[in-house]
Amino acid sequence: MHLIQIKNLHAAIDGKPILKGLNLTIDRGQIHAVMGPNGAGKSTLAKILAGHPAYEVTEGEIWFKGQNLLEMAPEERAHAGLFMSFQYPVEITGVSNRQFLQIALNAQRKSRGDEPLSNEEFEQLLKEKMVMMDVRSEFSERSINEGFSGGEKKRNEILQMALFNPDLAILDETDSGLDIDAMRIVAAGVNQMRNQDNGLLIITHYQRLLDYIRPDFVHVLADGQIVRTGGAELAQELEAKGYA
Amino acid sequence: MTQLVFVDGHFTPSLSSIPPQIVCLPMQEAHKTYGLFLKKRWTHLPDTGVFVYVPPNIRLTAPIHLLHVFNGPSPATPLLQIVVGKGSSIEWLQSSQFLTDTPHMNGTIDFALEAGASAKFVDVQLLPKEARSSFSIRSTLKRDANLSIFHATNGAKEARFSANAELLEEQGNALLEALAMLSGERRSDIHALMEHAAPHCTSRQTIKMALSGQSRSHFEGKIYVRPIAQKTEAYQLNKQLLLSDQAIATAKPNLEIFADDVKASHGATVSQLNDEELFYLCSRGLSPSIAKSLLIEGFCRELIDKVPHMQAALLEEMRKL
Repeated sequence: MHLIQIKNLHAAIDGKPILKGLNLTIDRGQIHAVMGPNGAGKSTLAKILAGHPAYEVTEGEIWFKGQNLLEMAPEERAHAGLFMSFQYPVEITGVSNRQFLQIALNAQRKSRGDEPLSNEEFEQLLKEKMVMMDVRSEFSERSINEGFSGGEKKRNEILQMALFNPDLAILDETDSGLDIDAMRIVAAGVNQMRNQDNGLLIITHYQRLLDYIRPDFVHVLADGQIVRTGGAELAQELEAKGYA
Repeated sequence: MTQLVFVDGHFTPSLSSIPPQIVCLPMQEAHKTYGLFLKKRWTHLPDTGVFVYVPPNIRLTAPIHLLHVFNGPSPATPLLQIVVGKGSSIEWLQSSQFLTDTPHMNGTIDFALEAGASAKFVDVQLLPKEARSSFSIRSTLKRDANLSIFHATNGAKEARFSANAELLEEQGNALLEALAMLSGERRSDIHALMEHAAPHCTSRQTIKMALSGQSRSHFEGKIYVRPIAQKTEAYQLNKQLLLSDQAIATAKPNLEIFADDVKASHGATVSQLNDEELFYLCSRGLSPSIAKSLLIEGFCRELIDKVPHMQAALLEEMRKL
């Protein structure tokens, strides 16, 4: 069974078609990168996979671990092991990171029939991941993403990924707004999580993140469709020659 | 515990216990010694209620509880005149107990803060839904005086709270924080006036209202800066969160500024829960109902956490939203 299989996906926002017959299959243990110019539909793809209500799927199917993803609510997708790192993580005033992450992790555990983590167990796990992602210790008591720099917000996304340990992680433009040190930390976090059982979809405009996280496949998304597929070397070619 | 108890609006000395350092007199007795002062503050000299005087340089560390007990539906009109002497400080915690489902209260407090005095007034009104309650605080602040007013309510048939502060001399500070959490058909009206009548004073207002069901809220606030009140800093923020299609929120923020060297701002928002925030939380595995309660808590918690002694009761009201 494929980890995820996207078949002939058509999608629109506010009646405007964005994706026009996209096909993509990812198996466990694989890293795929989707690259493409602005407006090609890269972020639309990420948001549809996570279940954003503003996007309307007009045609096509998505199967995630054998389940019909399009029938699942966003929280059910998370429970099933899908994670999307937001391009623009939202700031939520008054809700602490710690509270949010503990509720989220325990909701995911509950859906899989696992016991919730106690405060102490969660604290320990969070601390470990915070060290890994080089996140400041005051982070856990602060409101979600409030007052975080762009780089901190992205590190927070990867920290969540490390915490939830999803089967499929989608990184939507995670490299945008990251300086080179932050990029190394993010890449190290991602690489540490890589194994034969999970898959990764990296959506990016530039090749630079792919210098740190080497993809098995690179796809070019243009005008709502995958127009080219190749190996890691395709990213270098695109960087040199552009998308045209 | 030090407390002042009013039963159906009448001061009840037998249930009250006052720290020995402060003067506490039934209003009619206060006429004899403090008549001149009282005449200046009241157009009609009150003949009921309580007069409290904190002599200079007394810093009361423990708060005084101001407890109202309601036995029946007839209108209760508790009244307090509180004078805080030079350099003294006092904290009041006001709450109510209801032995009737239809209490009717019309309460008034007048605070006179002398130079360097500070007063904190924390009012938590958890009312029966058929209650009719109107409560006004007015205050004057002399040099370096600090007044902090907190009000939280779950609303009622009528629940009106009004707070006025007049900053008479330099370096006075007035703070108003209020939270209304309204469910069902409850309503809450909050009115505020910060009047800057001297230079170098600050005032701050933060009023949050969350509404579910068919509840209604109204906020009306004014910052008034007289021509003499240069270097004023005055801020007003009203945020209202609508959690249902039938709830109605209105806001009327006002600034009237007649001085030219002033920092002042006002903001009023009426909004629903943010869809992007909800999606973010759900995409991490939270059910929509848990995500909503987390966002509501995020909205209310900042103010609830300011009153540890009533935190549990307020969280319970929050969960009814």
